[in-house]
Amino acid sequence: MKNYILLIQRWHKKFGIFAALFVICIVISGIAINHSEELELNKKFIKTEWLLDFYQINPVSEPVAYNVDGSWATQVGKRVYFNNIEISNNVEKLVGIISNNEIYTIAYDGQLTIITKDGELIEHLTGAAGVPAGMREIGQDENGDIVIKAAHGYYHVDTNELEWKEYEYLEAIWSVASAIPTELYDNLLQQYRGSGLTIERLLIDIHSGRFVGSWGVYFVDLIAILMLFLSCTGVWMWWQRL
Amino acid sequence: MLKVLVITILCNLIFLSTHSQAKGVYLEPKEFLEQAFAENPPNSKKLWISKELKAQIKSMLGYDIHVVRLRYWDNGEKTAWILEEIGRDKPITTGVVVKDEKIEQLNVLIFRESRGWEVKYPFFTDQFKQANLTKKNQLDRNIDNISGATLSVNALTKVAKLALFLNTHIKID
Repeated sequence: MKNYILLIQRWHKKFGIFAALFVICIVISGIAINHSEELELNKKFIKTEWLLDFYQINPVSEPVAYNVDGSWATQVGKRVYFNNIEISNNVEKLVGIISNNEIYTIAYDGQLTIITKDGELIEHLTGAAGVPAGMREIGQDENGDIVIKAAHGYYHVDTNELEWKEYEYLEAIWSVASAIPTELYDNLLQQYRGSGLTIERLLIDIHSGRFVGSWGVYFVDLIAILMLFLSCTGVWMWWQRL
Repeated sequence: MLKVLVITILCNLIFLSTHSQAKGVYLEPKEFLEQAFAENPPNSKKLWISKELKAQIKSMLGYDIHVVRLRYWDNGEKTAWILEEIGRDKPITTGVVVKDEKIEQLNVLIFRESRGWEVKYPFFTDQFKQANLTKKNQLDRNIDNISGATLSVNALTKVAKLALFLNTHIKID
C-alpha cells in the first residue's frame, strides 16, 4: 500500500509540474476571454506580421478598383475603401464610383455612399431611400447627373432630393474597373491585414489549442485530463493522511 | 437505438433552424416605412448633423454618428428613423417610429451578426413601446437584457435613445 501511495505521489508531482505551464496559459487566456467585451479585445487588432501570415490573413479574391478624377473606390475582400479610407466591411460587390463637384458617389450591394474628396462621409443611401435592387452599373449622363443601371431598368437619380426616375434605357459614361496603383494596393492590403485578426480570436485559439491546429485541441484535452487526474490524486492523498 | 436517432435528428433540426434565423433582412426598410405610415409614407426629409450636434450626441448618448446627413420621414403626426449601430462587429439596421415624443414602434430590419439575433423578437422590441427620454437623456424604463445578446441589446437601446433625441431636435429646430 505504501509503495502504491509513493507511486501516486511521484506521478502527481511529475504531472503537476508538466501541466502547470499550460494551466497558467489557459487560466490567463480564459480570464481575458471572460472579460473580452469590457477590454474590447474583439475590437483590438493584431499587427504582428508573422502572426498575420500564420493565420493567412489575406483577401481571397483579387482587388477590384474604380477610378474617377484621381480618386479610387477599391474592394479588397469584403471591404470597400475610398482612397485609403474604409467605408464598409461587409460588401459583396462594388459597382463603381462617380464624382460631381468633388462629391463622390460609390455604389455597392444596393447602397450608395456619398463622400467628400477629403473622405468626410455625407450619407449612406439604401433601399429605404429608393436605391434599386440589383445595381449593375453606375455612371453619369452628359449633364453629369447620376445614372444607374439596375436589374429592372435604368434610373436617373438626384441623390440630394432622392428623386429616382425610371427609364427603359439611358445613355451614360459608365464607371469601369481599372488596374489599381501598386502603392495604393500595398497600403490597402496592409490595412486589410491589420483589421483581420482580433486579440480575442487569438486568445480563443490559444485557450482551445486551435492555435497549433487540430492536434492542439487534443493536447488541451490531455491537459484537462491531467487536471482531472491531479484533482483526484490530490484529494485521494489528502484523504490518506487524515 | 431508435430513440437516440430521433433525439439526434431533433437536436440537429433545432440547431439548423436557430442558426438559419441568425442573419438576414427581417423587414425591408421600404416595407417598414409602409407599415409605419399605413401604406402612405411621406417623402424623406434631411437632417444635417453639425459638428456640435455630433459632439452632443456622442457625449450624451454615447453614439458615434459618422455621417453628416440623415434622412427621416415625417408626416406631421409621427416620424420614422432608420438608424444603424454596431452590435458586436457589424451594424444592425433598426427602424424606429416616434409619435408624441414616445416610441410607437421599433423593428430590427437587417441583422448581420452571427449572435444576438434574439433582439428581433417582439417580446424584446415591445419593451421600447411608449418609451421616452428623461431629462438626463436616458430611457424612462429599464430594458431587460437577453443573455448572450448583450451587445445587440445595447445597440438597440442606443438607437432608441438617438431616435427620440433627434425627434426632439427636429421639433425644436
